[in-house]
Amino acid sequence: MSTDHGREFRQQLALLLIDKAVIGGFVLLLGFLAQAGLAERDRLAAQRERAREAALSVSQVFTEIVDENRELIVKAVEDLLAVLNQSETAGRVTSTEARNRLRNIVENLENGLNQLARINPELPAKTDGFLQQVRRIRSDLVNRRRDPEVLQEDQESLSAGYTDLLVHLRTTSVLA
Amino acid sequence: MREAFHDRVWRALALVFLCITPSSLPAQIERPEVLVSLYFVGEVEACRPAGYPSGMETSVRCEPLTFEDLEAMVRRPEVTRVQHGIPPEQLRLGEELLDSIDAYRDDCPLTRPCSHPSRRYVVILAFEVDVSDPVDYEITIRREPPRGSRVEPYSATGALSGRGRWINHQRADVFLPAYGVRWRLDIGSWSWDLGETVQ
Repeated sequence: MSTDHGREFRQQLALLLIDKAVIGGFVLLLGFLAQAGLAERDRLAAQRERAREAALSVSQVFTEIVDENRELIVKAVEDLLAVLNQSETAGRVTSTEARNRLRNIVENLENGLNQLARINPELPAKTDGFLQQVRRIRSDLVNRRRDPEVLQEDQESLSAGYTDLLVHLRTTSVLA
Repeated sequence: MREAFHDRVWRALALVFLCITPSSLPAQIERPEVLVSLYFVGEVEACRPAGYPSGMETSVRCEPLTFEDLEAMVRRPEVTRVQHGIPPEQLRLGEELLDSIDAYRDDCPLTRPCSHPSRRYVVILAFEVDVSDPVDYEITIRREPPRGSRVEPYSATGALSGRGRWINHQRADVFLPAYGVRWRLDIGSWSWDLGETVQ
């Protein structure tokens, strides 16, 4: 009788221990999975933060490029308008200084628009006509005798083209 | 006997020398001085009244230009002229002419040529050669672009006038040093390798 009791007690004890072990293992597994999930969440959050910082940084660089080149373009066009407005331009530009100034104006405009075309690939299609107009004005200023009335016409058409150019530059700023 | 043989040999050599000398004489004379003038003018001025029918090289219907016409042209403010002697063996453009051609090339590049003659420019080459009998001499100017260039090779031949003069027209942009075009001038049996243009 006492032997049966002892066996039953040992069996119950063994079952109890197995239950506890299974439950313990399960709890451990849950804990491990929870920890792994939390670590993954932290990793993804850190990744998102890095991506956001990179995007902000790129956007800042783009904004700087746009600002810098827009300034270059605006100055070039305003310089050209000033040249057209000068009374000594009537006739033909022959002095080395004035010719160098005109060459620099066209080069700065070309460089500025080329840089912005990297950000806004549609820009060249919209600004090529204006650039061609500027090149023609330079060629006419150094190679032809111009009457003041013709210079006035050039100035007016350049101003009109400039207004359109500013609209396209604003679109590029938004993209950046 | 031997002396007679030597005498005959010397006579024969003298005869050969006398026969050869007259034809090779021009090559032995020192090359003459050449004055070259480059006039940068609008195409409708160079080829009156309306420019070349289609491109520079096909031109055959221009009113002939004389040196007197060129002298009259240069008095107008829109015409640029550069003048220098050969030697040295080169075509020198000078700062103003180079800038004029550069501005024109920007407006009408080889990749997008201007269709209207009033927008195109020409360089007129005017040669004055200091030789005693100019009408006997043929003159040739050649332009030789580098391999793969968009510039076409071109050569023109004419005869010197009684005053040793000759006029040739070229499209203006081919004178830009950036295109690497080489120029050669032949007058009679003399040749000048003018190389690439320089500022």
